[in-house]
Amino acid sequence: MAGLTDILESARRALITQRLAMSVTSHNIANVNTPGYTRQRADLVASQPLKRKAGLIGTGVTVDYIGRLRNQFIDQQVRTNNQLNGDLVAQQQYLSQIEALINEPTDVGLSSAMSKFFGSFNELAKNPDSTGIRNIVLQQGVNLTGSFKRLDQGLKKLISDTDIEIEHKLGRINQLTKEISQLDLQITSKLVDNISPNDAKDQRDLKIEELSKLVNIKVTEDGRGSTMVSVGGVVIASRAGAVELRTERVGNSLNIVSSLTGNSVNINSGELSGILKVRNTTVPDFLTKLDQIASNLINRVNSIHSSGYGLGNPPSTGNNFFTGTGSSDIDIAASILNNLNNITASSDGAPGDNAIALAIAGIENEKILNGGTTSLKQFYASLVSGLGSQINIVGNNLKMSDLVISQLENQRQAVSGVSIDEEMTNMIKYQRSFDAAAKVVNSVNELYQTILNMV
Amino acid sequence: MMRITENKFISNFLSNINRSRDRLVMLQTQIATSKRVNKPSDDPEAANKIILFQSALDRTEQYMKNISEGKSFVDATSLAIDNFTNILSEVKELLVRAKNGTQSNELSIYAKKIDQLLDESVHIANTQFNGKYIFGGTQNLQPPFVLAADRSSVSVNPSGISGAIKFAFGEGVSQTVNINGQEAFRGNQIFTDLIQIRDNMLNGQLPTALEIQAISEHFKYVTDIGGKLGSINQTIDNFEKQIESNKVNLLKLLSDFQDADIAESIVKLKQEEMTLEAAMNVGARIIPKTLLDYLR
Repeated sequence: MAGLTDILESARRALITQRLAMSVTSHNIANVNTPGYTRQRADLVASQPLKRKAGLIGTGVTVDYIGRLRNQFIDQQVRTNNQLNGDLVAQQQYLSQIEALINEPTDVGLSSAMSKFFGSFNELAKNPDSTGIRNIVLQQGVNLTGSFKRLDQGLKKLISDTDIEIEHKLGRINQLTKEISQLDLQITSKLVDNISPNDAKDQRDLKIEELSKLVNIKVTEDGRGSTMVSVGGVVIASRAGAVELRTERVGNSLNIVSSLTGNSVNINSGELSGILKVRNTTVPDFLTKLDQIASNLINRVNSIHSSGYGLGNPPSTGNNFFTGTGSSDIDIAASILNNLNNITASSDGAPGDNAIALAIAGIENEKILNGGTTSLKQFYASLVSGLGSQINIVGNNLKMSDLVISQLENQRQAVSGVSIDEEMTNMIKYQRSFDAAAKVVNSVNELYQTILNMV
Repeated sequence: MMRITENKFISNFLSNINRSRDRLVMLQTQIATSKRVNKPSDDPEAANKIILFQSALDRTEQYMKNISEGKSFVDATSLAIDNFTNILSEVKELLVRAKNGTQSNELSIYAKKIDQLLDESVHIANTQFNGKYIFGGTQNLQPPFVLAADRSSVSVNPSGISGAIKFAFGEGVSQTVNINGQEAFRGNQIFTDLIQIRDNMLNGQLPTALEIQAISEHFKYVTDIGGKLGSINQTIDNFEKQIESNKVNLLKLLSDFQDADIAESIVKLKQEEMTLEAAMNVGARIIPKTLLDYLR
């Protein structure tokens, strides 16, 4: 037979346990909106029974373990998808900037500047001797070279912008890896005492997750609860400490290297990768193509222009219209800027002849690119639509990736999220148990009174 | 069973509202600009076509301008040639009249009349259009014909009076729009003949049949030039018709690729508005509800 003290003891244990469970509930409710918070649960178990003649007598309840309700598998998937998502987000952001820069299809883009330039030579063909029209030709030339240079400089500015952003991202990555390795040290030292440092684990998971948006990390956990984060095979955060990443210039490209070994690190996903792709591939490709258009335009116009004659006595000849070799340095030749009469329209020096002006106006339709299969305009139009479809593909993939992530987030919330309804129900449940245990204490107290009164 | 937390309601609500607003912004831009493609990524294929069609349209408009200016030039040339043929026909009439029964003392009056017509004809041959001599060939900044001060000869511009002026009337199509002085007036042959006839009259010589025949021949020649101008005009008219129908086609194609169907966009906008409103309504009803509302 159990003594009254045993009953009192089990009631006391019940009060403490229910209170503890309530405090876990309260912690959950308090953190309902905390990013990265994982709901916790007090696992209640019946405490060690007492052995009596009649058999084992229960001694009540105790808290076995306060654990996190978290699905590691979903975490892994979220990280993988975060990397893809980050990559796409960064690409979209910068590609849209290029798109805004080229400003097509409008009547103020490069395409329109080209049309107006060639149109002005058509006007010149009709009035080869008119100074007013020569002035228009010059202005349209200035407008065209300006359009090329504006695009060229804008794209180069974009590259230097990405350089700054890459340094920012690296700074954040290095900060995160430092914090992750510190948290890991804390967690593993607690785990030795068989205590689960839930909130520190949440923090570490949150930081790893932020890191996964930035760069293609791989996370491995050893049996003792310590995590190791690596990028492209290079360990960047572990209990032993963090390894910083830094940039290194190779030619015109920017590479990411480990500051420990100086070896380059393979970045193939995450925001950092998205920016690097735009920085090292998309923008330079676009610039090369723009250069190609500019240099072909310069060469073709100059070769026709220099063979013709301007106005004057004797009419000038051999003058180029443009100077420069590409989109960065295309300009109007000084001889044209100094004297409008050096613009050539005539093929033989006769002031009324317009064969050169007509030929230059005709360059617009000439297939002078891609081995004589593509006109300047066609080349440019496909450059623009190529960018458009790249943005489209990235945008569609991003939409899909967003959906996947929100699905995963939902799944994770289903496991780890705090539900106020549920916590309130638990609260009532624990409160009732607390009330009941208090009643038991009361009853035992009455039993004691009865016994004492017998004396 | 899947646990549904309050925060899930909120994040779902927000992402739905965001998606809806995203579509609203797109529709709003379409309606405001009345364009379906405002940047290349809206429809890359269409953006490509729009740039090329727009360029083609710009060129077509340029050709139309060229055509209208070309026509004015040809019209001015035609008018001058007409006037010139009138003068030649007047000369011919005078010569016929002078030949048949003229007193030798009247010859000087005819000669004076011919001299006046010579003046007029040189003047016509030096007709200017937009500040340029239309019969000057490619040397059209100087008068092609100069009547000497002693009126004994008409010299041609030493830089030349030949050369063709071409205008672009279509892709790869350039059409000569001028008749140069060499072609129109056989160099200075006609003027030289007129001077000869005048001088012969002044010398008391009646016009000969040969002289009359020469003028008739000149008349026929210049009239043919007028006919040639007519056919140039006809050719330009044909180009104009082609270009105009081209322009109509291009405008239609451009519109097909570029323009938003406003009616459709507005209907979609209305639908989207309704969706947004419904989402807001449902969100407003569900989100604030928790068990707490019922625990008293």
